[in-house]
Amino acid sequence: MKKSDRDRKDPAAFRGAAVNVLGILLAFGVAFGGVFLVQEGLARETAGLLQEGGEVLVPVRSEASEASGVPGADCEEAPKKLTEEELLAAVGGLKGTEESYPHEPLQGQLSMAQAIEGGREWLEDFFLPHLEMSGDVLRECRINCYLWTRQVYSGTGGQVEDGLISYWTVGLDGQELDAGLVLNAVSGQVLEASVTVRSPVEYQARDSMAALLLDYAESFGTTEDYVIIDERSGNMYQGIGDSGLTAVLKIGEIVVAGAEDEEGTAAPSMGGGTVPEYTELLYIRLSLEQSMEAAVSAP
Amino acid sequence: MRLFTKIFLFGMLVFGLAFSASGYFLLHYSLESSMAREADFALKQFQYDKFTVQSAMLTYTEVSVAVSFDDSFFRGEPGDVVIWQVSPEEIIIPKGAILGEGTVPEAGSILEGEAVPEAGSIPEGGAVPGVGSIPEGGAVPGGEGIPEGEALSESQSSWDGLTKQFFANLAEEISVPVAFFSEDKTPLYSEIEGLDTSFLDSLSEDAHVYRFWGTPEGAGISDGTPAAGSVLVGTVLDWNVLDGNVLDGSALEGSILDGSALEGSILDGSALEGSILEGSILDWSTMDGNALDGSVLGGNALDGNVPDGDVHGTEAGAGNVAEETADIPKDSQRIYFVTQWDISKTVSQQETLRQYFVRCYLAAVAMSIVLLGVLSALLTGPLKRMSKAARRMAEGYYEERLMMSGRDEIGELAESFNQMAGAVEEKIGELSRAAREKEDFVANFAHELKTPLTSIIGYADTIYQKDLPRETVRRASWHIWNEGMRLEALSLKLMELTVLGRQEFPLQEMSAEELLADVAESMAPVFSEKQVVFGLEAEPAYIRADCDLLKTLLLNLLDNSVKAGGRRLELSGHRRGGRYQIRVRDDGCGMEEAELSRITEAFYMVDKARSRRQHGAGLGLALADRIAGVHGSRLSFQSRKGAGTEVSFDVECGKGGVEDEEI
Repeated sequence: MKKSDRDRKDPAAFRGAAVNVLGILLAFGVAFGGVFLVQEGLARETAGLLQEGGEVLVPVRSEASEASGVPGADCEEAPKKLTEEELLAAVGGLKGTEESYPHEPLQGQLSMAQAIEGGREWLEDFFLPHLEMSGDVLRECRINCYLWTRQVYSGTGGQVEDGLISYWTVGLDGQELDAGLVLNAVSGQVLEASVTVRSPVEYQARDSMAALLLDYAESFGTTEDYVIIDERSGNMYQGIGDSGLTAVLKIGEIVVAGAEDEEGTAAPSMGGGTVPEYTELLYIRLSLEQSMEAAVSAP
Repeated sequence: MRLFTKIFLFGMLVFGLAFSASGYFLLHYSLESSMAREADFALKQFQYDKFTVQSAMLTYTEVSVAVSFDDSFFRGEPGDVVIWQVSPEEIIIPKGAILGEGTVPEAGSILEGEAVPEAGSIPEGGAVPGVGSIPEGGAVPGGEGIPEGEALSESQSSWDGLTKQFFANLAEEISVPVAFFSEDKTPLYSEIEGLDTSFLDSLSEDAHVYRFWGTPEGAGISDGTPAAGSVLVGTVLDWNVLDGNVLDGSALEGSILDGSALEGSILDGSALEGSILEGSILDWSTMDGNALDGSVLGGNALDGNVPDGDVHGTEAGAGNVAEETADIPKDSQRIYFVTQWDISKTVSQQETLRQYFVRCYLAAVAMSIVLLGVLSALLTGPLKRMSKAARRMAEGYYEERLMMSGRDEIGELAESFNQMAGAVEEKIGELSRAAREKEDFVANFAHELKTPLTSIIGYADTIYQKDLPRETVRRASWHIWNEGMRLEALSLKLMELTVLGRQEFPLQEMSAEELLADVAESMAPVFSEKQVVFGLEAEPAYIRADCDLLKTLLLNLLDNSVKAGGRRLELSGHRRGGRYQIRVRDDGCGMEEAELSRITEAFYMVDKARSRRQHGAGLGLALADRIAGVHGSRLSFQSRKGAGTEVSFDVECGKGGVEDEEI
């Protein structure tokens, strides 16, 4: 009797076992199929991206249409000078620690040609005369120039909201002189200048450096005729206006060979001592800082 | 499909979908964000590189002007001065134009730069290269003054060399692979291998265009080969060669022409070895010696460039110079500038991420298989045990119970199962007992019928068969009457039992004291006859009872006590809370304890011979127990063999006759 019952149940039991096996296989299929599908999908996606790719147009203002090679040739108006508040904001942006982004010149900003020419003119007409150097040293310079800002783009290739907080960095790399200038992108005012003179230069007396700083500060509108000198470091400071904006001049020298003059006397140094007539490297840094405290602690 | 399989399948389905979907979206987001980040990096770097290129283009010509002289110059003989500049044009200034008789400019008049401040304003005899500086009939390649193609090809090849060198040097300043293409998409310089020039079609001056580009190896990402890829970024640059930046004199006015370079050299030749040829000007990208190496200076490059006749015949006139400018293209050149930003590291990282994902996924699958197996076993194990227990109960093992604890649903189910099993077992027990009682009842009934009927049939047959004396007939007739009476009593008791099981009896309130006294009075003749000492002790109370039934119950109990040989009988009644307990005690023969559980069964007789002798049918206590049940109680027996028996039960107390008064 029991055997016949078992015989009757066998087909159903077989079907049940088969369904169970199929169910477990389906479970494994789902589990392992998932990873396969993910792998395959992502591989296709990656391959699609790499093989087909996409394109994003980044609006670029045609420089040629904005400025010809002649600096300011097509600009009817001279670049406007920044107000003290604008200058403060521009210096603040320059000293920021946020990431910098290069970008194309915006409407109202200097073109690259204008920036290069502005930088060269500043060096040639303003800076080098204070060192009693000729502008000839600039004629054999390799120039690199780029425009950047610390403001975040609104997306790739987006527009910078405020053109004032953008800067042209103009680098001039010559045999006798290296210069790195940071110009405000709108006004073209040199906010920071680091100049290294390689060729032997006659020692610059304190008065001449002070004059350089005074002239530099004057270019931003100050009328003061004195500078503050840190006797220990030799750094010079000049306040500009009431906003705390301060022009700073720092000098660094590396003496390679101390050559006495014909009379055997050394030239006077800024600190009152004697220094050799020639130095191998003369490093001068002119910059604007937001406050006197920032100026003192500036590198 | 078994529950285990269902749980396993469902779990794997949920797990597979959840993990796959979350993994896919995470990796997809990672891939997209990585690519977007790489694109941003590429665009940012491209912007810097573009500035570098533009800077170089803007300033290239200012430092790449070179002047070379053939050796005739140093010998003081007529010869050529070649000025190279960045433009497709090679400016060959015939010596005659500079040094020729009558046209040799005075130092300063030509060379101080002021002579060539602007295009078209070259003074007479000016030998400055560039727009407006070409003397009429001069050897400007492509110009009308070039007599033969030799000079052109020579010049062109030189230009190509310069261009290549320029872009090669430029590329060195750019940290990523770059490519430059001319407007007709001819490669000027390319470090990007396999670049599809169709990409150039999408470029324009007004946009930076980027495109992800899988290198050929990149196609094998899915087959495990190292991933590779890059981002191509490109734009079109406008090279304003001739727009004045070079030729307006700003570049040339000083370095070459104001005398620092040429002043001395031309006048006395010695300066050439220094200021120009020593490399101060020419050491930069394109002029690093290629143009001024010995071959140039030796005259190879220049020999034959300018026919003598042109040189000597050229009388640089003011008007002629300006006209030559038309031969130099003023349009700016368009150059395709493309950089390649390597993202193979990112692609590789994505591949690594995917591999990690697969490993994690497989590990998770393995763990989930174990967990789902355990979970399924935990869920289905108790159910299997329940199923087994149910099957055993079905086989008659009603004592089967589940040994499971826990407060979860499974535990509750097991508890319910055990309760159900207990109830079933109890019910089955009751049914079994009832069935056995019925069997016993039928058997006893048949036996109780048979005994008097046998006696009746026997005596009747005796009377019928024989002529018996009168006295014998009377005795036989008495036996027949006696057995008939037993049968009548038996049928009455059975009828009462049947009625008691089927009828509802309304209970009425009555005085317990009066009821007990009434019963005692009814039994008084029997007590007297049997010389039984009877004691009644009834606490006054009202009880709810059916008077006749309760009397019958008490008469049965007292009758049994008398039949059990009791000489002292006590009937008492006392209140116990809301109940009234009635007790009958005797000092009769008593019973074994084992028999107490069956004495209320119908036809059960402890001493059958004595019972039958006393016309007992074994139904008295069964009837009494049913009556007690009608009053919501059961008979309780306490007995000991030879020491008497005590039977008690209780009924509900009434409210002191209030009900009766109301009625």
